[in-house]
Amino acid sequence: MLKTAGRAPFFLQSLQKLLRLALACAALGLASFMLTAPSAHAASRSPTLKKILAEKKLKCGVAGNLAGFSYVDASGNYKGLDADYCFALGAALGVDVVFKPLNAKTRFPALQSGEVDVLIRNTTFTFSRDVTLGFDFVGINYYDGQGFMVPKASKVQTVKELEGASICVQTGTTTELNLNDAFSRKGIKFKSVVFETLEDATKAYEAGRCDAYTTDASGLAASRTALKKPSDHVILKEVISKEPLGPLVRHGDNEWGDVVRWVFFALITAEEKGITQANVAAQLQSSKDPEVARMLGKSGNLGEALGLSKDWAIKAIAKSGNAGEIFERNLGPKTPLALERGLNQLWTSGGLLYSPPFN
Amino acid sequence: MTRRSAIHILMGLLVVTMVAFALFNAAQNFQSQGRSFGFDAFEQSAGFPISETLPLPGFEYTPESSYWAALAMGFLNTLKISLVSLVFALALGTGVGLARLSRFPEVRGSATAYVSLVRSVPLLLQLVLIYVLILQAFPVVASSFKWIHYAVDEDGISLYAAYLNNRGLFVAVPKIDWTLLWSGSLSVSWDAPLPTFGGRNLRGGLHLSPEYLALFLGLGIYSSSFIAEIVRGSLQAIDSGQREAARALGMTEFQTLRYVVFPQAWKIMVPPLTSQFLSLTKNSSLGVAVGYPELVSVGGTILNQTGKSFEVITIWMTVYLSLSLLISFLMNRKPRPRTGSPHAPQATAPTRLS
Repeated sequence: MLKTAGRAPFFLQSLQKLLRLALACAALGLASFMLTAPSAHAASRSPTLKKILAEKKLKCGVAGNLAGFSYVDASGNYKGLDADYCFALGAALGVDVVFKPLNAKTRFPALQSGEVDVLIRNTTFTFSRDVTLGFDFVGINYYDGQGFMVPKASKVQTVKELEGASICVQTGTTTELNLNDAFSRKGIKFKSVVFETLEDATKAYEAGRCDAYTTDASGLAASRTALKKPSDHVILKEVISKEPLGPLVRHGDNEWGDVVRWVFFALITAEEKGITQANVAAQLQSSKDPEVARMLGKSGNLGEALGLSKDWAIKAIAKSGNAGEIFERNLGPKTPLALERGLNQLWTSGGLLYSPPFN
Repeated sequence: MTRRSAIHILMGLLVVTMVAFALFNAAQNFQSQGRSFGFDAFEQSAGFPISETLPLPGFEYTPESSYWAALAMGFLNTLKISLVSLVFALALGTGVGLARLSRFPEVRGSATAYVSLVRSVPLLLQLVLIYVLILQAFPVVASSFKWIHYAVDEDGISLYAAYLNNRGLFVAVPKIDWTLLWSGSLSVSWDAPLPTFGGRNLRGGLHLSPEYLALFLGLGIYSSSFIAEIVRGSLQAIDSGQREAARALGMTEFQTLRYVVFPQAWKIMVPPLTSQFLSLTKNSSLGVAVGYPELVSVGGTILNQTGKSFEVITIWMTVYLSLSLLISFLMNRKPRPRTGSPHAPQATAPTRLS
């Protein structure tokens, strides 16, 4: 500090005070910076992932009442295609999964507000959902299309024959929009009867209120199993829209989106490489494929890059199996739905399941 | 400053603070999620049909109409069902209420059973039950009840003016072109129900759907049970001396009710009846469970297609709030001073508790 005789003049005193204040602030800033500096091990920058790992809970939004996709079985456990993906994701993170059943109206606000971390709820990937609503779709777990179910007695075989028919739909889905788009394109007049829930719509269809019932083809298969006489109803082969169903996360946390996306891709790559739920442990030891070694954590640091442990993929595959096993278990020929894989098989078999490589 | 006004001011400040905080919080969340609050998206075309729309002169709703038009149609459907059910509920409720005061134990007993049963079952369950019963009770279109055969169409199917089946009641109505009236000519065409879908469905004419019927009956019956109790209670609240005096004057039972008891009971009935009317109007929002396209149903579709949940919910709340305020205002107006009838007592405004 400047040394002057007696008291310094006023402006010099102010300058000294200012300098001392600046020094104190700098010291404080440096201290706080050092305290919050990243710790030694690589942690993810994703706030969502941090919260999930801290709370040891993954909040997964599902339908909860759709056969084959997410439903509760007699013992109170969640089963289904979407549920299995949630379990795989939870296993990869090493946390428990908490399922939150959501209907068509509440699913998007729940994800937007953070009530769920990821929505795996047979939701169609569309422009408005990806862009306007502020979400990111991180994969397609089921390629579907909108179809129609009619009573066998009506002898209807094509969509064009539905001219003048009454059609039951569930509100709040892409179904209403697609129905109108497709029918106005073909110049077919129809009447739509709109219900709140899937159950009400199928009940009304069964009671004869409408001539046809429309929703995604997989949903039709699921609903048909719940009818009194499933064999009296037939699902038309014709499909009027593309419905790519997949998991989604909200905007603003790209790292979390990466985690969900790559867990999903791991399950597809597992099927491609012949890794199953049963042999994943053996594959870790015996496989000579460098990509498998990287994915399963034997080499490289893919897990660390995602902010997860080294065996993230092993845990996911061990929990739910690969993409093919998940399909067979929930929608395959042994299940009441008995859906054909169609587009939902690997690209090597003519389908659309394609994972980028793990390098 | 009295303690009372201090409390009022404090409460007012509290409410204002809470509302301001909620709005501020919402605005912050909107910003952080990159969404905006605005009604511009509602100008787009709706893209979905509505199964029942009130025929307005000069306007017809199509899927190309805007979301605002769809909401307007939904609102009109809400009004339509609320008004009609209200009248039905009032009539039925008054009848049942009077039945509960009957001399005959059988009448009294059945009315009591009706009220106890209907009041205890949740409205949603009653609606779904009535809807399913209606669908079972009526025949399919191919074997519907038909009246007034008037023509045979080119496929050889007989055409009728009225049909009753499990898709509803279809009646042919005349369409008068009002714009030609001033030029002297009256052009009347008929909007008749015609078979479509190979005779398995009907299109056209005045159509009362089973959804409408289910909602009408469900709301009407449910509210009537509460209105019955309100009517009964208000009638019993009138001092029996009034009734005795009227009988002493030689009035019949009916005249007693009409000129002495009811006018006095009306004053007591108005506040709880107002609540019932409000309740009925809001209960119409359950129409979405039976497929009736009222405001909540249409709004729900829009909410899902545009993702504008905040805006749609704001519209819902505003509409229902305005409707409720309007109904309470109409019910609580000071009655005009009555002139003429010597038997009717002067109706007075409710006394204020100061």
